[in-house]
Amino acid sequence: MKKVLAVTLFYLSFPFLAKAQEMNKFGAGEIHGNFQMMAQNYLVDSTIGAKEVSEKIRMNSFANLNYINGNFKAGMRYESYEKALLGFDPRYNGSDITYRYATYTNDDLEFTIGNYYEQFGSGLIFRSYEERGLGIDNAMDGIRVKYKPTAGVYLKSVIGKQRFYFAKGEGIVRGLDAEFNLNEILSTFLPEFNPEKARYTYILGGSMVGKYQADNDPIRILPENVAAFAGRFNFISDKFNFYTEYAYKINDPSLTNGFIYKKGEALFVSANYSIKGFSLSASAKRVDNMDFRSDRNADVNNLTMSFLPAISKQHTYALPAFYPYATQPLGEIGEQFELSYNFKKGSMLGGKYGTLFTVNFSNANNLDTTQTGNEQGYTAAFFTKGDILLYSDLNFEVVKKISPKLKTTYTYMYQVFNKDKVQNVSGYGTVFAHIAVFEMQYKINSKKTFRAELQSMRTKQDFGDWAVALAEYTVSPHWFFAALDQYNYGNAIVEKRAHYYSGSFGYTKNATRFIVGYGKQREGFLCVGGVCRLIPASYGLSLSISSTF
Amino acid sequence: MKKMKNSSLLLFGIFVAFTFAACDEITGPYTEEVNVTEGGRKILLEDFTGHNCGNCPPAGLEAIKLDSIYKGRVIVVATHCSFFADTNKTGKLSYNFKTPVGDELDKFFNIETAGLPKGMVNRQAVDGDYGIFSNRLLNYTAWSSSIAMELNKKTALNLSLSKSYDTLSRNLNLDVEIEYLEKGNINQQLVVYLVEDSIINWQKWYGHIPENVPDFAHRHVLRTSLNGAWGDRLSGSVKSAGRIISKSYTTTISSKYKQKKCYIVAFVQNNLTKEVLQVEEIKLIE
Amino acid sequence: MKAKKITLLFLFICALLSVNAQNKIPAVNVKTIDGATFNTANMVNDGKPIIIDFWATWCKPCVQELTAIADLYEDWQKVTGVKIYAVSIDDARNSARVKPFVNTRGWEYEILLDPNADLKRALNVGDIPHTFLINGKGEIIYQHAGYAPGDENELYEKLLGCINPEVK
Repeated sequence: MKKVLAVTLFYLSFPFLAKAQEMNKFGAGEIHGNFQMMAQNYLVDSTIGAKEVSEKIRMNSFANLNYINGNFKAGMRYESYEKALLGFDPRYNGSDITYRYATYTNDDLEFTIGNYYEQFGSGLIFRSYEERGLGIDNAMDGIRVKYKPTAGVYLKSVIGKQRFYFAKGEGIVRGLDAEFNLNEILSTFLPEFNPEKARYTYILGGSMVGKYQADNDPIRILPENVAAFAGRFNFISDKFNFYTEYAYKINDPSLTNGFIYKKGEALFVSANYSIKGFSLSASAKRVDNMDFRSDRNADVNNLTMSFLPAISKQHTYALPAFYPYATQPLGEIGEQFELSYNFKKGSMLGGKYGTLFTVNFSNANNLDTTQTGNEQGYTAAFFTKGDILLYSDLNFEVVKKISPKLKTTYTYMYQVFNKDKVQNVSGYGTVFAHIAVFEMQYKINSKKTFRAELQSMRTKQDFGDWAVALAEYTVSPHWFFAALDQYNYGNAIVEKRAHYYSGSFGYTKNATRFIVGYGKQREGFLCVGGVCRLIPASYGLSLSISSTF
Repeated sequence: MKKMKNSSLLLFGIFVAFTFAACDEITGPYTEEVNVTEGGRKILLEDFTGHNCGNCPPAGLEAIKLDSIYKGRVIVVATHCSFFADTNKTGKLSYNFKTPVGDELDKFFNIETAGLPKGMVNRQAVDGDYGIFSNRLLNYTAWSSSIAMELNKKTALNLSLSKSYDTLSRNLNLDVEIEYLEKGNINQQLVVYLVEDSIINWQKWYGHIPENVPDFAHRHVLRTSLNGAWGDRLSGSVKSAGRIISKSYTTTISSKYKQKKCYIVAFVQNNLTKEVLQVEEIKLIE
Repeated sequence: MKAKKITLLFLFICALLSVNAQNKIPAVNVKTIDGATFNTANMVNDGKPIIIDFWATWCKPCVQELTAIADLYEDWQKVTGVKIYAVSIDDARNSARVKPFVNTRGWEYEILLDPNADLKRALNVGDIPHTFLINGKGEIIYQHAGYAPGDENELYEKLLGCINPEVK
């Protein structure tokens, strides 16, 4: 009840604040927001494994409202899951205000109360973020202060608890991050030095994050306060960019690491060189017992503090993305390389309109570990790889414009995916797949475009061979129509050689979109950014509406 | 403004101090002697599992460990449910552990979609919120803390079971007596389960060799309920302290179950929140 | 409890309806491709229009759109003086990839990095691509979600419209 009262006062104060501001020179505030709704009706289909859903129709929706007036910002989100679409965690159930905040900014100081999202460095020890399409939201609820005491110094501190579906996690999260842009700092001592015109930029950063969770365990002696530290360095020049970040975590026995008391660490290094028309990049990552969450008993994507995305290329076509890699936070070592070259217009390989060529390779292995047989769990060699290959892929892509109207893309990929280890299942082994994709886009006139994709995946493992055909017709600025068939023609079980066909069309006006779809969705992983969720097979009609105002 | 900035710097300083000071490095010992407090309150630990669930055996081992630590104070029921308990037509993993009661609990508590293994301690919600957002499915590593906290709560009522059982006809007469130690809620149910221990059959177990264990001992398996998934309502609007309610049940134990391994688990729950207030067990054959 | 919250929501909306919508760009800190912290309040173009385009290296229609506009950008700049900010929402997995990606394609946009979607959230952007057109006074006068080939023509018409208000 107290909470309701506080919220009421909080919102009722808005018009007064607005009034007060009106009297000032700032003028009245602004209100903006967005709205999104996804609904699906579920039909049964035994060949693809689409099960009966007793509600028949399920719907996820949310709306954000943000109010800005000068230095003052406030807002909220209302979420509704009646009931959550298949593939979303059922703990998203019902409707409520799940996010509300107020922020005040004054010169170099910013103060936020309520909910907020924040990231320190690349997120190795702390990232609070949302991926609504995946049902991931570990928003903080508490206080955040950002402060810039002098040019080039950026401080951030956070304290609060993380969101856990419609509740909050048990652990209290405290964190501090400092970033130093050496060029900007230098400019305060050397007024003639202009950081924007400098040839080289150096940025240093450091963060520390602690969590508190009471030890009510009658058997184990658990650390109630667990801290993690990270340091980063970034060097940037016109053509060259080098970034590295190292993180360290003290003993953090948890469900995911099997309650071992080993320290955790992670190292991420990335370097790239690029000039107009050419780029070369490389990155490497080593992760060792670095699953960091604000609740030691949390699993799946719940209450994560560390953000450890895979470094392999993020594929966008359906079949190359069929087996998406996800970092193994308990232990992995891997690297990635990419070379990209744009053959100029008029050159031999470039042809009349130029040709873009990209080759990419990535690899991830387990760590080289020795079990200790005690509470430390294991020890791991720092530089040597373990002998289990988790993931590897080598891919080539050529984008070739043949005429002003016709553009084609050719992709080939060889992929090795250790399904058992990556998806924590058993009995599937490792998948070896050859994948080819051909895409063409033909511009009929300035408004109408036809696009088609043909994809093939050959593999002897798991579901066997797949073929995908997609045709899309768009009429700018309002309409699109698409038809898709995914055919599992090589499934070892003959009855499961199903066609997963679907059709959709959409209408867009400014920032409002309606999309209607009908068809079969195969079981699989939906990934946004580096994070994935498992979507069970489904069949039926879907509707989505989104709008920004 | 200057003042505000100074105070914010101070705030930063405090955060720094907090975070640095807040480091609990454990160098051993890693475990402590469990202090089992005296009291009449017993705890129902429900382990939701399935023979196809390769990650479930560690949860089962945790249940056995807690059962032995809190000798007699924790009563374990393993409920096989969700697609993890689905059966092959023949051969391994073809034995059906599923029950209508398990299916009903699965549906009500959304167990399948939350994934296995999961458990409930007295069906308590983590944060005491029993609204539609209630969350009571615990990962097995959280069971011990939850049990320790539950044991510290007051005992609301005493449950005593007595039976007469005929091993030939397999007829069971069960008497349940409920004695209120404090005022009881209007909406309470008495639930009576039949549980069979140590059923030897197949189980998938990741990381174990072999992975498909042919002779796994399935402990504390829920077989059926004598009075449905949610039991019988206890009559009387307000149950004042000192009041005694008695219930009797008669049933025939199916010959499919090994009677020497069977026991009865009875518990009283608040039917609105589904919180379990007290639980008791009795073996069919002493 | 729930009903009360819905009432609150309603109250909140009513309270805010009395407020004028002016559509300014909110002030949010993002990063430039050179690592500097950049406040979006500093998105200025000497009284000429600005386009903000949200994209990511993994977003196909976004790359399509920016590729299409890249061929026209020089002409657009000559006629309207427009400046385009291409805001990448790539997270830590891909943010190091943004600069090589842009350079190889020879894009001339002002590239900003928004790895934790702070600006995206402040502008209430849902799915990407999402494009905003801001006139010389700093007001958002048009926005568009999604991309179909040819959409750049509509954007250009709107851009011309904000240079010469009589052309609609």
